[in-house]
Amino acid sequence: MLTEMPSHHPEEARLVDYTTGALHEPGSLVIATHLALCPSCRQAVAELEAVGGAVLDAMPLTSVSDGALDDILARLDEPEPAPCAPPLPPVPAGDTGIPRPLRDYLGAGYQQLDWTRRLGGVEEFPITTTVAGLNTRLIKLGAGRKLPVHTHRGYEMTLVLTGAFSDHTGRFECGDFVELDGSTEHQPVIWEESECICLAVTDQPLRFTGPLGRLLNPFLKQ
Amino acid sequence: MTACAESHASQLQAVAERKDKQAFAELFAHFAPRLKTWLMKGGADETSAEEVAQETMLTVWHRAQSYRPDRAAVSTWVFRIARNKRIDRLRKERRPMVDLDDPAVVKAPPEKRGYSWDIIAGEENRLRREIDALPQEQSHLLRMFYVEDKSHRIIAEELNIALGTVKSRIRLALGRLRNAYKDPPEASA
Repeated sequence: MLTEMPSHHPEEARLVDYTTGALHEPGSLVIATHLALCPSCRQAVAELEAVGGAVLDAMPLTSVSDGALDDILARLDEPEPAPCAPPLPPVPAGDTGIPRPLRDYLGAGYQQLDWTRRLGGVEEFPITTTVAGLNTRLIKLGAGRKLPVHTHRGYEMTLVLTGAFSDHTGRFECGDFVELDGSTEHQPVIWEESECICLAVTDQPLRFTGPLGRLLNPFLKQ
Repeated sequence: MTACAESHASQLQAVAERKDKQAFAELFAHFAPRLKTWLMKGGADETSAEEVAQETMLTVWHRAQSYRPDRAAVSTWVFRIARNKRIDRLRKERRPMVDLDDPAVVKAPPEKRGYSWDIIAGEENRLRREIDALPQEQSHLLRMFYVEDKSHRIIAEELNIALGTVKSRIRLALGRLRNAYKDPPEASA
């Protein structure tokens, strides 16, 4: 069991957008998985949700239609209605050690996933969400590997799940959250001890900026 | 506890333990008109606001057993259900949530455990008062976030103020609330 607390957290604005529901599903998946690993952000979200409860309780009243209470009392013995969003397939029993909600989206442990090899020794596992236009995936990077220097055209949210990497801004280990935009250029180096698996959401492909990286760019447009 | 909040917790308990329809009707009478306003202010038309309010209350009925009074006030628990319903019914998206009973959840060491603002005995309405006591531009903006289901970026665009200004107003508001609650209660619930 991990006892270290994460040291890199989402900014408060992200936690607010997650709590109010404004953040999209892929971003919420990253934040909620960080919350499973981070007691201090969980505390912050509990406080933000308390604000939501107070705001709801202070709402002025709009009368419901005359038959509303009778309608709902008549429906109480029916089964709970199914959600509109397509449900995730049930996860097979057995502890994978992966926290919910991520475990529900993967359906198996990291070793059992059908990883796709990419250039530069990077492996990926795509995660399907209800939101089009955002790329949600697991990324697996080999121990000791050094990624080409790159920037992000849009934004990228990353959560470290296993292993660790460093770049010029710091060290990132299990539970650490990183958010980058197009202005950040970095070159992550994976620690020697073990491979590193991250959950990442991007709205644009990476853009490599170093001499080797420029050669790779055409191959990344798939 | 104030009579009102205490009665919500005991009404919910009656629903959980005995499927008490009278207690449920009382919860409905309190929350449904507030939920309807919240949904309409969030952009729903009257028909879908009423539908989502109904669906929220149905979930309150079905999930009453999962309410933990030591984790959140009833209004906070209802807010979470309503927020998730709004995302499901109106946006058709899933809502990923942390599961506090998941063994993979990392627990805080006991000396670092906080307490939630809304479960301090006898202080149920304090948070409302603290929000009301914020400078008007902060309390207005804070309520807007919870009601309108819009991100920082969208709200900044709509109000035609810089994103950084929106973020700093919210940060100031939350900082004041945190400051008001910085001393742990003598005996938390």
